[in-house]
Amino acid sequence: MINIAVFGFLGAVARYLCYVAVEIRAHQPKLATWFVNSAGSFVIGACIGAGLPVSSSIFAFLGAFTTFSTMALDSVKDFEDGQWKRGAFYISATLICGLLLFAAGYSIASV
Amino acid sequence: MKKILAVGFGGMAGSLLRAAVFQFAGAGMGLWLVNIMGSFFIGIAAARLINRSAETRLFVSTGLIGSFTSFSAFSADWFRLLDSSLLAGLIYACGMTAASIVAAALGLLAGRKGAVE
Repeated sequence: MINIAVFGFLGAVARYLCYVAVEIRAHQPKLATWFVNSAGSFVIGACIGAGLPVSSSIFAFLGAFTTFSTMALDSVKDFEDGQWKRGAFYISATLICGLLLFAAGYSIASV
Repeated sequence: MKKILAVGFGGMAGSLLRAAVFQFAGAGMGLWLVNIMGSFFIGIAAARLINRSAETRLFVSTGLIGSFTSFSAFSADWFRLLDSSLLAGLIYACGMTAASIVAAALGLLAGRKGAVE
């Protein structure tokens, strides 16, 4: 319980700092969302591959560090602007990178 | 600093709520619930909090709802399913993504409607 609270706090702050870091260089919030989701998928793959228990703090951190709702909303905004290709590319790139990086993390850690 | 605290406390609340849903519904079903509900709520928040302070928006959207939903667990479940059946994995990933996008669109519409009335 305390674990979830503390690491949920830290995960959300770490995600926010990624937004700030991307914002400084380019006005591309979707790039930051793509980054946290890809990085989070890689690390969770490594944690599961290494056999860490689900109660580990790192899972609480990653749950808050990654986000699904922001991705859904950003793609809706693209679709609303008539940018169908851009929205579809963003969604596919996020899903595929997440899966491949999960697999990479998993296989590296489970060797 | 105020912004960081707003995101952090939102993330704390969102993570605890997600854990409560997982406790109640199980991890697999729980992830469907949090991602679809969270996408709906972030749509409402995007429409309703436009004129609020940056701290309010960071607390609610980035912190609370952003942390309530999760992508890392989604990648893990998708990988596991895909490993056992290609079709099941594809249906799972497309299903949750499509459902969340529809939920976010409905939330956005609902929020705008409420703001006008």
